Amino acid sequence: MNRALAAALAALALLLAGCAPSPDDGVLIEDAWVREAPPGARALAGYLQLRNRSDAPLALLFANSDAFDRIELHQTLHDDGRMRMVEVDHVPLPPGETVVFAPGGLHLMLFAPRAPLQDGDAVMIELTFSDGTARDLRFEVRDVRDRR
Amino acid sequence: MNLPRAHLLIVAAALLAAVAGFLVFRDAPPAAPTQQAVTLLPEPRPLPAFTLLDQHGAPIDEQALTGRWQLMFFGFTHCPDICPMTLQTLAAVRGRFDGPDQPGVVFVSIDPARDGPEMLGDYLAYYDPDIIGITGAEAAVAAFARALGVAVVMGEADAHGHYAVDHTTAVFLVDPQGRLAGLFRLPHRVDAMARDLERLLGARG
Ligand SMILES: [Cu+2]
Repeated sequence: MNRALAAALAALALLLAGCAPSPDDGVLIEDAWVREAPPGARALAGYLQLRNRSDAPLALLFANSDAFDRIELHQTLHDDGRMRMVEVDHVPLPPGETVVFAPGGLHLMLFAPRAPLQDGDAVMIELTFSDGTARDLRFEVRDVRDRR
Repeated sequence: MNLPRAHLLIVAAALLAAVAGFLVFRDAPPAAPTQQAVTLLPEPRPLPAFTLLDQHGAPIDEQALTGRWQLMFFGFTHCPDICPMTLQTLAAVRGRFDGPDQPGVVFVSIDPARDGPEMLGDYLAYYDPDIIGITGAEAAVAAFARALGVAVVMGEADAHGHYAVDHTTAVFLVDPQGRLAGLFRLPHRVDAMARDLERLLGARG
């Protein structure tokens, strides 16, 4: 009986280990989403969180997608009561840190969607990192309007 | 026997303090009620006169902004990050009020070359069809913005012809007489803005 239990536990442990992301996975990406935009909008914004789990500095270099004409890495800056969006060449990902792309700050600037995008849709965006790896990532389109 | 009892007392005191702290902070208001988000002008001053176009392509002038409080801000539709946030905030503030007290929301495009009436109409209707959109001839829009002290810097177009427009983040408060009464600087919070408007509505009535 005890042996059967031990075997079952061992199997469970193996299963759990298989599900968990491996620790040397490089960059962990979470909460990737695109803000649903008004119909006809020519530019959308994408957000995500990137955690560099390696010991080495990394950087996000590019984003590409068949769903858009082109994508730029943007940062919204506020200074002196003014707002401006600037393109950044790359986004540094220091080891052990999480870099957050969120409204009012870093965003993927998504130009000219090829098809209308609505809440619940998903788009694939490929991210290229400084270590030469690329990841194809699913971004969920979300309507984040305040519904009263 | 003495030591554990002392420990027990310390634990009990800490628990008591934690509970007391919880009760005090739970009942504290989230912000002091006197704190204002709006910066009021010492004296309201008339809006600069303008003749521009609304999102239906009809002429609109400063007379259209009378009769109720208005929240006016400057933006452009190729601005997918911060402009939607501001529009959502203002639409939510508006939603806190009913009837004649309900403030209007005015979005002035500082990129009229790309934001024609139709484009602007589709964009604004997504947030609230009652938002007043203003566009028009580039020079006329620029003159209106300048007269309000709105700094607008057109970015240089990149290889794809795309450009961004730097612009002020302040939301202008227009009173029912159509005068500039004050402004809301960042951060724009629905609760704080609605509370200030409520106070202004009360002071008037
Ligand atoms: Cu941008």
